[in-house]
Amino acid sequence: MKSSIKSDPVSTQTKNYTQEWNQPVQRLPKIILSLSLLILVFSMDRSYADEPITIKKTDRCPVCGMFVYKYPKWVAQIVFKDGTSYFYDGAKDMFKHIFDTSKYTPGKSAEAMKDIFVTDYYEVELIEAKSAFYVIGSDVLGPMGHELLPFKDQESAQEFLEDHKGKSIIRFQDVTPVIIESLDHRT
Amino acid sequence: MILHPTVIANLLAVYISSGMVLYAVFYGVQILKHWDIQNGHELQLVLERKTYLISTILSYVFGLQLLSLFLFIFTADSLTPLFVGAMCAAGTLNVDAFGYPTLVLKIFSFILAGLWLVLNYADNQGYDYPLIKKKYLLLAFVAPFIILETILESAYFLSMEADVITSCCGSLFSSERVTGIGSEIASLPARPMMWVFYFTMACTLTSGIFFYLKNAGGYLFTVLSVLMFIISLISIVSFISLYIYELPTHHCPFCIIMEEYHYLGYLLYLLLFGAVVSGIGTGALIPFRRVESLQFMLGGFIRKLALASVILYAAFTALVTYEIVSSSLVISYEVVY
Amino acid sequence: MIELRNVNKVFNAGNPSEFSALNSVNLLIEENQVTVLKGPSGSGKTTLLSIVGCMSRPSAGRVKLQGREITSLPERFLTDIRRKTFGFIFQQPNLIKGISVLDNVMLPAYPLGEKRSHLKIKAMKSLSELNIDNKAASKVEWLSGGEAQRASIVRALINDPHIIIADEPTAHLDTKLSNRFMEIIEKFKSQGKTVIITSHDPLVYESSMVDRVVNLRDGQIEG
Repeated sequence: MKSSIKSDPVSTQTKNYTQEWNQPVQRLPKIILSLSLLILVFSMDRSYADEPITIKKTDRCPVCGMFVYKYPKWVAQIVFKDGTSYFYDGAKDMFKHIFDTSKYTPGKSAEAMKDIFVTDYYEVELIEAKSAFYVIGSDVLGPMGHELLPFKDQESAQEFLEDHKGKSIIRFQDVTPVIIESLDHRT
Repeated sequence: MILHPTVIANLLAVYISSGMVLYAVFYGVQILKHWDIQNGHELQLVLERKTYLISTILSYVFGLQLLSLFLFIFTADSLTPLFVGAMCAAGTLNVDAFGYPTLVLKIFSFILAGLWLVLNYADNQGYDYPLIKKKYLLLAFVAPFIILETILESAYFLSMEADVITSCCGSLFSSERVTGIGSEIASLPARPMMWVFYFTMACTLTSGIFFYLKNAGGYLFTVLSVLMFIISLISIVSFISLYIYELPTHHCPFCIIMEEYHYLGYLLYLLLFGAVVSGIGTGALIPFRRVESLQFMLGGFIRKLALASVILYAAFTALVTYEIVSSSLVISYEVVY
Repeated sequence: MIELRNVNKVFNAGNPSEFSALNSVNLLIEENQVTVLKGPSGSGKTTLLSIVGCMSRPSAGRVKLQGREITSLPERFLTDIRRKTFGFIFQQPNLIKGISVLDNVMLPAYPLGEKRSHLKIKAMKSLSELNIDNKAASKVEWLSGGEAQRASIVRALINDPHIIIADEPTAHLDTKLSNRFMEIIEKFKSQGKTVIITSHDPLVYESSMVDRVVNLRDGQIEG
């Protein structure tokens, strides 16, 4: 899962255009160019919607064994440094894997995780898990029951919380095994 | 109530079964009280005619009963999309308090129904209805199970609510949870359990083959086949499922019936249940080998039953072994699940 | 030998049209004898014959065939005995139209699974003994009354049964053919077979080869 644009720093790219920059040519195309570059830069670390995710029919969540292809709106993914990746049927199971990695995948540890993605509930596209906003305590149920619903920004998370009686919005680092357990035990 | 075609089919099957069984029991009681093959009274002749009809009806009813166990599991599996948190039959059965009791009772009914069919077949081979009283006594014993099963199954389907969050099989059969028999079995250590499974299977198969060849030790074989049945069920949860799913923590015995696993579960359970019924049937018929009208066929039939049981258990073991060997899962000795 | 003990037969029991065809019949039919059941129509002769021949069951009572109780036998055993022990000759030849005489004659032997070639030889031999082998391939519609009757006799004999049952066999035959029929019966007797005939034809029940005449009236045996 590589993004279509290599993660080159902006400075390298602008260096290529420095010469053009100093040319006494029309300003308009340059403005348009720089604006496009800015937009591209700011949208780069937000969504990976343009890449197709190939979930095989046989892919199962290592925590609960469910077949992930049945729930495309809830897919979460973790890519390990050795290239292997696992799919989950919700953010909750993903967190369960993170908290007890060797139980569900013996021989692997949480430190070996490279990229973590979750699916934004409104946009239905993969977003970075570490920067997402999670709503807990809402009345929307995922395939595993009560869930953490991921959103790419505070505003959409807040909007969802108000619409669906959510209890709170938490960040990736705030999630603890206690919170996960409380989601499991709610009826 | 959820008007799913499978639910209707299940309820219809179980009501028809109960109705026919009650009708049969009514005449069965008469037969048990008044049957006397020697006298030529009108009642006796009427009962002789009636038993022909009732045996035929019950053969079909109990045949239906055998199928209905699998239909029930299939239904539970099909209804999973309706319940949040359910991903296989395990979740659907947990939707209300009647699901699992119904399943347990259905398993009992299956075995008793199979036993009745074996007894009925043997009885029909004799020209003077040699086993008729035993047959109807067994029917009287089976009838309450079937009635109870009907009540429980009705309660299960009728009290199903769609807005219930049910447990996923991952947690029902997890080795973490302390309560519940599911997790108690799941937390049995896998490697030792494998040894128990294969060792007992070897004993059972040997005993069966010995009986087939030497015509001795039939009761031992019956006891072993029942024991093997229980051990096999435990083994499925404890370690066999792990290899089929290739997931070290997934012990659920119901996910293996799903399409993604090529409906393997149905085949495994079919072999297993067939094996235990023929094993028990063997033991049930041994006492009647001396009966005059069955002299010429019963011995051979019992041995064939034993052989059938052996073959079914062997096929089960072969399938399980194939799954273990071809699985990409490796259960390391140190890790105890 | 055939033994009937307290045999009753009631039709339409419980209905207003209830009819008692046989009433406490006790009868012993000896082996290797020709027994004639005689009586007016409605006396129960045919009913009695059908019970003896395992074709129907009594409403009460027991029937023993060569020591073996047959009234309580399950159907699958009864069909076996019926096929192997009895040969039936009816009032009408009851041959099946559209197939040949040979096929008709071999019919009762099909369930026994004998090889067809063997069966054919047996059937042809039987047909020639009654002088209708030349008609073996003809359609039954072309047979005369006597020929048809003889074909039905061959059919009754195809499984080499021990007991021959004939229900009013001479009802549609003229004197000559009736006499011919009785000669055939005598031959059965000499072969060791048992013959039971119902008839109200004097030519039959007054014949010299008849060993015993049983009189039936209103479902009971007289005398």
